Amino acid sequence: MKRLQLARDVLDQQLIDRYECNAGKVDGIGLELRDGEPPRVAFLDMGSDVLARRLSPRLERWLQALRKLIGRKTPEPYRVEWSKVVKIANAVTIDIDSDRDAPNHVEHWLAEHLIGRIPGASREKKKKEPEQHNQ
Amino acid sequence: MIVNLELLLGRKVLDVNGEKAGRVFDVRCEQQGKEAIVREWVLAAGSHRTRSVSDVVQFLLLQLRARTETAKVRVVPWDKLDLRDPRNPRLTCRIDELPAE
Repeated sequence: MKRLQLARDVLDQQLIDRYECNAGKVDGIGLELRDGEPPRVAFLDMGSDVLARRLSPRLERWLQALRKLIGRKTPEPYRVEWSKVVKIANAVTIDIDSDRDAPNHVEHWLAEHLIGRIPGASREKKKKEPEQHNQ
Repeated sequence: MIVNLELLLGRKVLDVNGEKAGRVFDVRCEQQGKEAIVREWVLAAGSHRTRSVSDVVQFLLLQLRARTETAKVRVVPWDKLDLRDPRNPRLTCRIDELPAE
């Protein structure tokens, strides 16, 4: 039975997907309170809005106002169920494909329009077979 | 009910008599199979009382204090913290009933 300290071991840690690619950072953690039972960790949150809310509620409002101004909807925070967490060490390894599942719009846009045009840049991801991690 | 840990960190906790017990500093869990179950809330006494700095800075200050000074760290069993109002967490016991760590 592994003991964890959530703020120290999980919050703000790097997320790594099943192909050992960076998948963002843990910006938030959801705890589910249950009647008569200890709370459990429900999910990990990622996204600019989660981070903005954490830094300051005012910053979150500014970000939402800016989105409204340029005619974009506020995206839902990307959530990873705790059951998808396979290993917690220096980074948090999760069993998802970040390219397919995580909404890295800015990263994808930059890769396609900027980084991908640099001579020699290749966006081919080396898809390794996911390792079996023991908790 | 879902509580966001990142918004809970740094919140001032009062005991059942309204005495200050510290601020939420960390959460201790046990991994059981695919689930992580909260066992204890960790409170650290901080001297800063304003919310003029962001929660992140406040949390970092708490971390620093707990590591460098003799800041009192108190461990609260999971069932002794009332989180029905996550903005104003309260102990369901007196502060002197909690062991200092």
